[in-house]
Amino acid sequence: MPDRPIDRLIADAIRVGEKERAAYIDRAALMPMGKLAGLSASSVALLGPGGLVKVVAKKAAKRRTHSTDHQAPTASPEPSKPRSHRLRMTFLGAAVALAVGLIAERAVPMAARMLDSGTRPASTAHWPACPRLDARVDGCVYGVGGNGGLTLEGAARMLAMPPEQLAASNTHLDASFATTLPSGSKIVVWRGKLEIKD
Amino acid sequence: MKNSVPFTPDDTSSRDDLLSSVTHLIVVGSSKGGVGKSFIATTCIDLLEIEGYEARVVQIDEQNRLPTLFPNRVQTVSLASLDDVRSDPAASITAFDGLYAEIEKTMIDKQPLVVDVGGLAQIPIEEYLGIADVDEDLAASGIRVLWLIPTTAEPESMRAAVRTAEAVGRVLPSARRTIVLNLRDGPFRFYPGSPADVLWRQQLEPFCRRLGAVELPVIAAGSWAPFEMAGKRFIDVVAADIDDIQSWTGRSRPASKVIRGDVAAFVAAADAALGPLLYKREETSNA
Repeated sequence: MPDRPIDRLIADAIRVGEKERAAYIDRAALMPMGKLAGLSASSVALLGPGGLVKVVAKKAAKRRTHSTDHQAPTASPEPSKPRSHRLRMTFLGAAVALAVGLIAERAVPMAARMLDSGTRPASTAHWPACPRLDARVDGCVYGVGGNGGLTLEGAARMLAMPPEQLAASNTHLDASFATTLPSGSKIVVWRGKLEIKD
Repeated sequence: MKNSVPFTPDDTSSRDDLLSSVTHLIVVGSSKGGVGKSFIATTCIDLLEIEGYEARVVQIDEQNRLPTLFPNRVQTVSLASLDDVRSDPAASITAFDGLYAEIEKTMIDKQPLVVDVGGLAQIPIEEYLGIADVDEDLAASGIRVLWLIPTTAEPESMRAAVRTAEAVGRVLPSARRTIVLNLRDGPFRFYPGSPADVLWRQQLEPFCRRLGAVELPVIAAGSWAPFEMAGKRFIDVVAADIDDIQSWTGRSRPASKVIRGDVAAFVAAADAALGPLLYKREETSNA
């Protein structure tokens, strides 16, 4: 690997980030399940890909350790749990881990979108700017840039929404579908899914 | 960091040529929108800058992301409107004059040029390149041309990548074409026999093997959005201290460390995947 100044910065940032993520996972593993389930999407995202699975695995390991520690002093003469019971518990644990993994796999890509508060002020003047026009953006205002050429119809196509729906929230533009929007025009992107807050 | 190119082209000598110095003209384009073209263009510009090259930037698109990230460096080329073409039949060609002017500069000074082609501009630019026979000029000038064709693991996107790869091969035969497998929507593994699986195995995968392909890594969910909203570039993030990250994103100090680390991991992985296509490293010449 070439010795560029930024390579050290990158390596340091990765190391610090991984250390902090590991600490997050440790802290999450100490939480009761109810509190864990109530974590915000942004907190779950901080656990990283597969982070929830690691949390569950740590919780399971902790429970096993705790259970062993607790039983040791009693030195019960009774035979240990039957093998079939241990197998059943192992399968149950694996099934839970698998289910959590599957949920996490779907949840992680969604987390970015879920970071949005889901509400917007009544005035679009206070809405965030759309980073781009695509099928994912909602509840934002797009500033037409460049030298023009964008039409409402073109914008609707990029947004993957019906032109009529886009036009309905952009009556201020006073433009037909095929009219080129002047540079600086503001396109309001509103799919009617977010909540308007006064 | 190791090269993560999953497929290497059959013609290794052309790859060696490509790696012998910086790639001068890097075009990112596919006829499907929303597959990460501007994201990849931004990544290439930052990787070139890390390596010491300040690329010129042209966008044939109506997005405002690149001009925001790279103020005073982005030349925007707008497609001819229907009215333009009605009044001047050659307007669909002359609309690309701005692009050609930037390419000419690169032919002269060999400074890299990154071109971000919007989904709607893909077919018009193919028509322009074919009519204007730009390939002849590029070949004569000796500049190296790379066309990155991004796709996500989604049938329409894969179909567009195949179409684009074929079209670029016709109109710009001297360009090196590389498929960029954007893992954003999941890996390129499909349920056996499904339409996506058939499309992948019968069309796109053979292209990947023939042309070469790289996998674009994914930034951990939620870690890039706060920086994107703040209008930051990858190199801004990895070079920033935690106080800056906090002020840009409003996140807690521990969370700032995590999201900066995720972006740094992405830059490292992207450098390993795309770097060998963009520039030659010193260690390669010493090897």
